[in-house]
Amino acid sequence: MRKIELTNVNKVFGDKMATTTALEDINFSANSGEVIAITGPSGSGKSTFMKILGGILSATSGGINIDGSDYGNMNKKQQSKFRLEHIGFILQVYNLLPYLKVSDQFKLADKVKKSKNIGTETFSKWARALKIDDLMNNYPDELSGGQQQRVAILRALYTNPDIILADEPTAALDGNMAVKSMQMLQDLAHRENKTVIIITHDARLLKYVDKNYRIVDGKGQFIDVNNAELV
Amino acid sequence: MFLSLREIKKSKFRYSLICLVIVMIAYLIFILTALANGLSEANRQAIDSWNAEKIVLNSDANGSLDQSTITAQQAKKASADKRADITQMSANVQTLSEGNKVGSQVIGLNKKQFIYRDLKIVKGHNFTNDNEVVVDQSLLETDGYHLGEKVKFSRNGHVFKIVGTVKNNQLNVAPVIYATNDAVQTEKFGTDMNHTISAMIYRSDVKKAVDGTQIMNIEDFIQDIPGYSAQNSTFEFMIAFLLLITLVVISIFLYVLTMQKIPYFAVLKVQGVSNGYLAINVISNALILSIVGVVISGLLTFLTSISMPAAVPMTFDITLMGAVAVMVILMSIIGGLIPMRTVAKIDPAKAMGGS
Ligand SMILES: Nc1ncnc2c1ncn2[C@@H]1O[C@H](COP(=O)(O)OP(=O)(O)O)[C@@H](O)[C@H]1O
Ligand SMILES: [Mg+2]
Repeated sequence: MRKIELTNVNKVFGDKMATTTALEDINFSANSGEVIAITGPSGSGKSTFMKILGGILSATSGGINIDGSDYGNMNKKQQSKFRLEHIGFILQVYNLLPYLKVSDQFKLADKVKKSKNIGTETFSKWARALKIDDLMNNYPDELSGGQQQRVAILRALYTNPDIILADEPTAALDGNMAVKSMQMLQDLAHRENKTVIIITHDARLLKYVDKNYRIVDGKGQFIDVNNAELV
Repeated sequence: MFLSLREIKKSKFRYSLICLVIVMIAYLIFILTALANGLSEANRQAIDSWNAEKIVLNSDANGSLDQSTITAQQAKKASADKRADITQMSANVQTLSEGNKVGSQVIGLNKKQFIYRDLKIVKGHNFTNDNEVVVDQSLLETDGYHLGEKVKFSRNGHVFKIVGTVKNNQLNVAPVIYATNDAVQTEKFGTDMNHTISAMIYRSDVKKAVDGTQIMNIEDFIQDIPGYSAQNSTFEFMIAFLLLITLVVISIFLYVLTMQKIPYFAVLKVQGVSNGYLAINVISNALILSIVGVVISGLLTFLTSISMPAAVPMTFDITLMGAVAVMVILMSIIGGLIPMRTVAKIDPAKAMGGS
């Protein structure tokens, strides 16, 4: 089932004096149950692509359709509400609030989204899998970068989103943990029919994705998943 | 609340500091209010205790009791309905050994009229003849006089005996001493100006002024007490200014804090947390700070009130203090609204790294 569709999306930064075309004529689609890797050299437009996908940035032109609704043309408030209910973000930096204990990071999610979050059983299972179940009483500054990132992964999954957008979620993780969280995301996509879109530089992770969308100089195309040299 | 409480818990030090500032300002506001209230009462308590509507003074007296004289003829022509004649004299009361001089307001009363009849004696009894006086309790409490003591108002003046006390009876920030009109007139003028009083106090609405006299509303008369209005408006100005300082301090503090939290608010926005939720977070920070600050300073004020010597003219009125507390909290809410625009303008893209 078609979940996300970007048609002829362009993104130009800057004013009349100096402009950067970050994305050029992007056509992209993702189905439910798919894991898609976004690859490409640094500065090619991957993060910009992800921001537009999540409604964090608006496109200069083009259409963004999610679940059959015109997401690109919603107002900020509607997009924010849509994100809360349907999208889980895993960011590169600043994922956690420094003044909340790990357990409170999840409680906060319960405060802002009161229903349809994952159950306590699933929560415990995933917390154990990500090896953060013993960290619930710690503040983020008491955790290693990897631990923080794993908490952020679970925080993104906590609201039970049907779309998961991740910008290099495994960069701070050791190889073992990176593979493990990737397997978890894959499992989630395949078994619960979620859409996982993930920016990565890590060739080993391509084993767990269904498609590879490569962006170079703002232009994107799906390429062979096994073409690992191009990561 | 959820975020605010945890944030305050994690950053105890910085929140304690700002709370301390609020405590100090609020305490200052409370004390100034008590002082303003106390001084204002010390100016007018006695008049308030008379429960009167109008006062008739000499029309040349410019609204000043001190300068007013009403002759016996004028008094005779004036309405007698619910009227009490008073003779006022500013004098230093002293013991027979001429020690312990205290500036006082001596008020002569007519025993048949309402002020005398309605005097609320708390100790001893009302005066019954020209040799007895009833005094404001402060003379006993803070100036060392006692019931039964013999006092006089000048070196060779008549000797009076303190036979009773009344409570909360000051005038022009001096204790009131009640005696008979005759006794006060003799003290004030000698024997030749008998029956010349200072003013007539009415509990009825007198309309027609006798020649050479002027009718004033009691409230207008009080406003004309020398220094009374000026003093009140000075205090009001100071208190208003302190409230303004509270507002500025809280809004600056919340603004700086909000600026520091921009990256985290941006993360929350990425996660779909609404502007409203973040706004409530800022406001509840302000509320918690000001409520804690007001409660602590309220306790300090209470401790001050019970340890303050009676001589200090402070009145701690619960209703007034409550109103002041509400004002401080209100200021903090307004202060919390100032960073609102910043919160609304935070760009979630800021949370996503990269350029
Ligand atoms: N806010 C911005 N303003 C101006 N230029 C930007 C902005 N964000 C990104 N760019 C530019 O867009 C291009 C793509 O950036 P980005 O999407 O971050 O690349 P990637 O994530 O692939 O490294 C870069 O040339 C970058 O300089
Ligand atoms: Mg990037």
